Order: sequence, then structure tokens, then C-alpha cells
Amino acid sequence: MFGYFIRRMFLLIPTVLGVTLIVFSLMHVSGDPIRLLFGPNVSEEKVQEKREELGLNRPIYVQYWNWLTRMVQGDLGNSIHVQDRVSNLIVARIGPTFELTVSALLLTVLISIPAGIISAVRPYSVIDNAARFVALFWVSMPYFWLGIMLMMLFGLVLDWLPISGRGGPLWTLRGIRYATLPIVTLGLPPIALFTRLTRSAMLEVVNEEYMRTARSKGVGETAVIVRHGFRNVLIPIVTLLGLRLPWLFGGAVITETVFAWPGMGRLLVGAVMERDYPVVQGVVVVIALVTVLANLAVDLTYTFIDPRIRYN
Amino acid sequence: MLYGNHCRKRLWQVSIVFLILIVGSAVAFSKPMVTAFGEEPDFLDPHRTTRFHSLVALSYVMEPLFDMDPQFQPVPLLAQSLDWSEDKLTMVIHLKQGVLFHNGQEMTSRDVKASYERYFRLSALENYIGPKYQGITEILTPDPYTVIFKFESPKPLALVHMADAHASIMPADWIAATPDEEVGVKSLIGTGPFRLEQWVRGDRILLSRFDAYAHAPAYLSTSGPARAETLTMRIIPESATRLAEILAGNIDYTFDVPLAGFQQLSANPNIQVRMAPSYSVQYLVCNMERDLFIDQRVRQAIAHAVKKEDIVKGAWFGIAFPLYGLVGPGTTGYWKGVEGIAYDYDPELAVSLLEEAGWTAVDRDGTRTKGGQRLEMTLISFSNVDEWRRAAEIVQGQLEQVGIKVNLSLAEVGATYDRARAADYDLGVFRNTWWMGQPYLTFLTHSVNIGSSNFGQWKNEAIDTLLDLSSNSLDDALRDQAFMAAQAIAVESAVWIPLAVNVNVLAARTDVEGLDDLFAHPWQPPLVRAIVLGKK
Amino acid sequence: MIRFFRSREFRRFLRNRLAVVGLGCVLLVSVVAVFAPHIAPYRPTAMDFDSLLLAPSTRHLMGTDMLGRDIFSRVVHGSRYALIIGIGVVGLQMVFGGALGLAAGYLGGTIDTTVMRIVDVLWSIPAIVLALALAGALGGGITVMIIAIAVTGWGQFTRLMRGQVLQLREMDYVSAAQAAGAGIPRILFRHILPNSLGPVIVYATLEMPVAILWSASLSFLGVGAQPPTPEWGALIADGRGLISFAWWVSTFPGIAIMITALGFNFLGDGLRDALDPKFERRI
Repeated sequence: MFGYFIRRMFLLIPTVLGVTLIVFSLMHVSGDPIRLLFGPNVSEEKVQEKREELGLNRPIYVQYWNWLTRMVQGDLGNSIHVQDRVSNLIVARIGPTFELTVSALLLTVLISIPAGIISAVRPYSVIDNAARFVALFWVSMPYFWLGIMLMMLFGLVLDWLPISGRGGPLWTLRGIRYATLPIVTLGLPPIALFTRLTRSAMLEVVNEEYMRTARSKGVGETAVIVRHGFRNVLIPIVTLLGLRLPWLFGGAVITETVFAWPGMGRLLVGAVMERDYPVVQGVVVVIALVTVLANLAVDLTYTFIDPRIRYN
Repeated sequence: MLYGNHCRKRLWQVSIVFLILIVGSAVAFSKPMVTAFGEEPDFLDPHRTTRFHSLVALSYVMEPLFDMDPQFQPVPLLAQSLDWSEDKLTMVIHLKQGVLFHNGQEMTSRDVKASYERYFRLSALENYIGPKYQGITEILTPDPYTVIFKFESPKPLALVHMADAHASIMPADWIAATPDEEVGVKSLIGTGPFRLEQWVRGDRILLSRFDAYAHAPAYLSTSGPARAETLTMRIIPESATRLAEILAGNIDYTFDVPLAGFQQLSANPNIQVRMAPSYSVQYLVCNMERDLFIDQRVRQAIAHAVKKEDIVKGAWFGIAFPLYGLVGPGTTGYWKGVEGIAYDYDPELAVSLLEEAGWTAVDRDGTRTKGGQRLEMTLISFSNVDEWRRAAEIVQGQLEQVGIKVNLSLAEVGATYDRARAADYDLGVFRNTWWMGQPYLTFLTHSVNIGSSNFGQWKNEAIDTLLDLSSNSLDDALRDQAFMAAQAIAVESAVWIPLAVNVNVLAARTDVEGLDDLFAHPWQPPLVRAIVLGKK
Repeated sequence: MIRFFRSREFRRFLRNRLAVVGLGCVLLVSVVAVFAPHIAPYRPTAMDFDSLLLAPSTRHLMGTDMLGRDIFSRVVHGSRYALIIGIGVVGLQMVFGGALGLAAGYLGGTIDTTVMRIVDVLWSIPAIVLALALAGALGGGITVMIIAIAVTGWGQFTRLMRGQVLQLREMDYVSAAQAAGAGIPRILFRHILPNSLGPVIVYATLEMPVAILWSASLSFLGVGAQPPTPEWGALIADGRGLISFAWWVSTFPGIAIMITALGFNFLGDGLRDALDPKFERRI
């Protein structure tokens, strides 16, 4: 078991290397950030000066190596655009990002699991069809459209909720009010996926022999479903949650843009547009690290859910 | 025992939640004045930044020595008075006394010297008055309120450049104690009507009034301090969101008004809308490196095929003005006479010009051909700005009418700039924003800028000479004449085809006051916004 | 194929009303796409500066946009791009991702580990970064969009095919074929691929709306199709600032995307249920 753990940790290295290499190359191929930084009213000479200063004229592999060696020491460098430390930028945005994505994920799961269970218990019924229709409805429109519609309806027309921005930490009333629309926008579309997964996993269980045996014994339907079915549902749900972990960091770009939410998604996309290499690389590295660790955590969780699973 | 502890712990938890809610709502009740930006500043360091929105934001906090009055004349701001030597190579400035920085220190001559030195050291902009361009080579501070600038060559436009917020004054001690990257990021100390309280990246910038501010420019009716107690600059890049916030009354005033919503805003009884020509201009440019454009008739045909009014209607929802010369009405050096020279909309003339130039045959899809070659061009511009994208589309449609096939190649800013500088295009739609006409025209049309900002990629000796004259000649009249002549040549050549000049639109709640004072100034400078705008 | 239409699976499919509706929507969109120039009353790029932002009427069924273009015509022509993008993305993923998945599953060993490692690496990069960086590096336009979107998703398909191969490899008929001396390509094409058709079709159907919606997001971020291409995502993005007073500019393309996406989603959902033995009705 421990050996397995160590081996998995080792796999971290090639994955992170691969990720950073790909992103590094892509960014550098896509163009020059200095001209973007300075805008049009600056001479070419000055642009070249700045490039020299930041070491952007050195060969790519040299730049990569420098960045890599500093990264393993914990120094993610400075943003070209803003000239603040990348780590500062990330730390400032991580809180609001998690507020949004974790809450949205919670919302999704809280709605999906009961919906999936009900769907499984009564397949092809009116409720099942209605639930599937609604779930697929939210995932059939562009995120930004959903966001703008919600904003217009609840923010402008009805004036029930604030339109955009972050109103404060999530544990304040004001914070919750401002976060509601973005969380709903982010949380509704994935319901389709989670519901289907739950439904599928539950159906497996619902039809199995031992369920029929339990029912014939007179044990209550609900108890049977919940006790035996739920554990079966946990594995795919946990897998999906694990797969979604990278998303928690940078996946809410569009929602953040529409609602002017100061999150990592916008930071990331803005950095890509500005060719702010250090920021993109820094954020991607953090995400990659978390992803690998998350996968490991997910695999370890399996052993708790299903004691039959063992690694060696 | 256990029960008692549990009870106390509960009480603690409840009190903390209660306290937080109270604090949270307290913040909600002390409403600051709110403005909205469509783009976030990169950093608020006047000496380092080159971005428009950064300059606007920091102008609430920092001030240069001079200011520009409503007649485009430099007037003293931090300076009290000045004297020029006979040979115009020495400028003696007497500073206002008792001007305080936000940290309580008084502004003295050594602060001015330190600030200018830092400005010359760090600024990436073309520093007309800097040592590199034979400008200021020495700064002397004989006493705390006198600064002597020594120039290497005469700079007639020196005061105009010293009125630029890029040359703002900071405390010398603070400069020495603060690393360059932290200025305008972690803290910012100036003499302006507001002090920087906090910058929550991606979200908002918080400013609070500097009560000791008492040296507003003389052309204002008040001398300070600012009317508003606090100001929150909210950063809302998405235009649909910004419009919704304005309509909902959550923004007290903003100049980043999504033009699409103009009608709605004007019709809204709780919102007042004001307009004024800005110095942001858009133009179409032909790449003179392409053989296609060597024949001036082709360029003229393009100029005649373009209908500026439709571009204004379609790209800017009618909230812009057709532009006839490269230097627009909101820019210094504007010459109304250029309107008589500009090419007007005349598609028939365009067609006959093209036929004269040999493009007589027409292909199956309506594109003209000459000797087997199609009259086909690539037009580049930025994809992420809706207005320019639409302008490009409209130009494409208009040129199609006279038989020119235009393929749009819009990309995001970086990629487009790369292509522009590599001269990898036939046509381009670009924008420029600079309130000073002379350096701006030089930037666009002087041959020294081919390969960087001269997107016509065109060397014209006459323009070069005239532009040099307009910047260096000591004769005011000659400078003006030279500048006008340069503008005329630029437009006549049809290498640059001016399209539209933007309009500054302000949308404000009806309970915001000071708009009249603000619009008395042709470009509503941020400093004036800071001082005169307040709520009833 | 004909066997399919008479089979139990198909009857199960028909019983799923949502799936049938989905099929209908997909057929509708396909017909519109094929006959677009005949259905659209105006040219999609024809501008009319005297008819800016007109509300829906008899002359303009869906109104006009800010350059005076007929929205109905643009939406109709946009169906072509939606399908092109969807098919392009799915096609690329199937060819590229599928080939790798087959290779990984069948050949196993280092090839398997390498391919899966690459898939993992790509999965760890936020899709939006990948798409934007690619689009930035390669320029704008529909082709680049298709490539960028395909790259963000082919890993899933690789996993799918690999899983299929691993599962089917153990089947008797495969061992028999191997014993008879059949070469790898023959085994793959004759035995494994045909039997994977089910999950592949389901995957392709469900990936279409994802691709179409991705193109909308990329247009929103400014890296979409070149104007004046009437791609639905670009239409919605263009009109989003006008929603409060010229709602028709964004709404109709939005509805078009929704119908298409819903159609493929219902269809795919139904196909998945029909082909999956788990969904037999409870006894």
C-alpha cells in the first residue's frame, strides 16, 4: 500500500513536467507579451529593451530551465503584465474562486443525487422524463447566455439580487447575495452529468438480486435503496468529483467574466490573452499538482468505500 | 460540565456570526461613490504605465506640475509660476507652497527632481522632454520651492508634456524606500484629491478623500478638496454586465458606457447622459509595401467607397462622428480645414477610378480582376473589440459594392500587433488614443516609425520634414502651418483613411452633481472628475 | 444496420419519448443546414443601414441586427457552421483519439503507458487555456476553432476506445481470430471496431453539443469564427450587450443552439439507455 503511494507520488514528476513543457511552448509560440504590455504608443526599441531585461530573448530551453529551477524552489516569478509576484496573484484569487466553484459543485451534487435516485427508482416515468429534461436543458445553452439571462431577470428586471461583483466573504449575508447568481449559473449545467451518473449507478443496484431478496424479506424499500445503492453510487461520484478538481481552480472563466467575479479563471484567461507567461505557467502548475494529488486522493478513497479494492 | 462548555461554545459561535453580519451590513450602509471601469489598470505607477485606464485611475491620486485648461493651454498645477531664459534652454519653476503629499510631507523641489529622474529612467513612452531626445539634461534645486530644468535643445511643447500625468510628482524619500514594482501596486503616494486605500485585483480600487487637498487648477470654481468622501472604482470588463449595473443605478458615474445601451440610458429617468468628442480615433490604412496600392487611384477608390456615416451607425450605434483627418476634434492641433480635403462617399467615382487603373474585368462573384489577378485584400484588426470588428465588417461590405473582395483576418490584440509590425496585411483598421496631436501624428505617419506604429509602412519626405518642423520650430505660426500641411498630405495620399472619432459618453445617476463643471472642459480630465463630481 | 431497427434496443429507444424528440430536432437542424440558401430569404451578409435593430416582423421573422442584417437568414445559415463544427470536432477526436486508444489498448505495454500519460497530462491543463493558447498561436477562424476544441476533448475518446479494446480483447471470437492467424488490423477492423460501435455513437452524439457550445464560449472570448461568418456562438456573443432592448439579436441564435444541443443530448441519452442492458425495465 505504501509502495503504491510512493510510486504514485513519483508519477507526479513526469506529469508536471509534461504539463509545464506543453504550456510553456504554446505560450511562447503564441507571441510577444511586451508589445501587449506597452500598447501601441511605445517605440520598438523600448520593447526590445524590456525583452532583454526580462530575458525573453534567450533560447526557449534556457528560459524553461530557469523557470523550472526556480519553480521547484517555490518561486513562480513575476507577472509581466502587472509585475506583482505570481504567487501573490494566485493567493489573492484562490479564496473567491473556491467560494464560487466549491459552492457550485455542492449545489450540483445536492440536486443531482436525489434526482438521480428518484429517476432510477422510477425509470421512464413522468418524473424521470421531467428531471432529465430539466437537467439536459441547463447544459444545452452557452454558460454566458445562462449567466446573462439570470442576471437580467433576477438582477435588473426583478431586482432581487445584485447584478455583479463580489460582495464580501461567503459567510456574510452580503457575500451570499452577490454570490448567488454566479453559483447558480455555474452549478446548474453539470447537474445533467451527475444525475445521469447517479441514475446509472443506482439502476445497477436496483435491479440486482439481493435487492429483490431484501424486498421479499419485507425490508423497507427506502432503507434498501439507501443502504445498498448509495455505496455503489459513491464510486462514480467520487471519481467525477476527483476529475473535476482542476476545474475548481480555473473552470469558471465565463461565469467570472459575466459576473465580474475576481477569480482565478479570469486571471488565467486574461494572462493567456496578454501572453503573460509566468502567470499562465504558475497557475497551470498549481492546477496540475492539485490534479495529480486529487487523483491519488480519489484512488485512496476507493479503498474506504469498497474494502474489496486494494492496491499493491 | 460538558453541557456548560457546549453552551458557551454555542454562544461564542452565535456572537461571532452576529458580529460578522453586523460588520458586513455596516459596510453596505456607508455607501461610497461608485464608478465603473471596463478594463483593469495594470499598475498605477505613472512613470511606468503606458495604459489608458491606468492613467485615468491614477490621475485621481497623482498630479504633474502642470495641467491643461479648457483652451488646451498649459496652466500651473503644482507649479506656481515659471520663467524661461532668453535662449529657451533654462526653465525656472517656482513651486506652490504648502502642498502636502498623502503621507503628510510637504512637496518640495527635491521631490520634483526625484520624480522626474525616475520618470526618465522608467518610462517606456517616447520622452520628448527626456535626455534621450536632447531635452532635460539637468535638474537643479537651489531652494525647497525652486526647480531649474536645463534643456539641451529648445522644446516648445515642453509644458504640454509636463502636463501629462505620466510625469507626476511623488515624495523623494518614498521613491528611495520603495522598490519600483511596488509603486502603484502595493501603495501610491501623490498630491491628488484622493488617496489609494486598497486595490482588490480583478474587483475594485478603493479611494478615499484627501482632506488637505486645496490646490485645484485655477479654471475650476473650487480649490478643493474633492466633493465625494470615498470612491470605489469597480472593474467590470463585460459590457452587458456593466450596462445592467448602470441601468440598475448601482454605478454613480462612468465613462465606460456600452454604446449599445445608449438609447436605453438616455430614456431612463434616473440616469443622465452627457457626450463630448474624445481623442480616440479609428482609421483604415493601406499597406504601402503591397504592389496593389502603389497606384494612388486604387487607394482613392477605397477612400471613396467607404461611407463613414454608415460605419458610425453600425459600429458605434450612431454615437461617434465621421472623421475626416487623422487628427480629430478632441485632439490638440485639430484643423477643421482638413474636412474639405477628405475623400467623400462616392461609389461611382470609386468604380471609375478602379476602371481607370485597369481593374475592368469582373469575376463570377463580383470581384474585379486585371490580367488574371483578383482585386482581393486581407484586412486585419482586433477581434476582441466589438466596435472595430463591426467597423471592419462594414468596410468589407462597402468595398464589396465596388468590386473589391476583402477577407477579414481579425485576431486578438497580440496576434494582430505582430502581423501589423511584420507588415503582413493589405488593409488594417486601427485606433489611436492620444490627446496631443503632434506626437500622435508623428507616431502614425513619420517614416521613422515604419515597422512599429506607422501602419501605412510609407515613407514620405514631405510629411517627415513637416512633422519635424512642427515639433522643433520656435515659430508658433510656422509650427501650426507645418502641422496642418502634414495632415493634408496624409489624408490626400489616401494611405490613411480616417473613419470615425469617438465620443466620450458619461452616464451618471441623476443625483450626481458637478457635470456642468466637468463638461466645461473638452475632454473631462480625470483630475476634474475627481474634484467636482459628488452626490446630492 | 437493419438488424438494429428491428431489435429490442430500437424499440426501447422509441419508448423513450425524449429521445425521439431529440432525433426530431437533430433531423430538423440537418435539413435546415442542407437547404439553408433556399430557406433563408436574404443573404446572410447583406447589410442595410436603414433597417438597424428592427424587432421581429413579417419582413424579418427574427428581426435585424446592428448592421441591418436579417437574423433569420443568419440563423439558418449558422446551422451549417454548427454542424460543421460539431462533425469536425467529433471526427478529429474519433480519428486521432480513437487511433491512439486502439493502439494503447491492443498493444499495451509502454505504448499504453505513454499514451495514457499524455492523456493525463493534457487532462491536467485547463481546457480553456489549451483552446485559447492554440487559437492564439494559430490565429482565428473556424478551422482553428475545430482543432482547438478537438484537442481539449480527445483524451476522453482515447480512454473510451482503450476501454473497449481491453474489454473486447478477451472475447472468444477475438481469440479465435488470433488463433486463425489474423493480423492486428484485421482483428481491429473486423471484430473490435464493429462491436464498439454502440458506445462510439453514443459518445459522438453527446460530444456534438459540447463542441457547439464550446464554439460559443470561444466566440464570447473573442477567438471565434471570422466575421461575417454567421456562426451561432458569434451571433449570441455579438448581441449580448443588447439583451435589455434588442433581445432578438441574441435570443434566436440562442434558441437555435439550445434546440440543437438539446436534440443531440436527448438523442445521445436515449441511445445510451437503449444500448445499455442495465436499463431493462424492472421486473
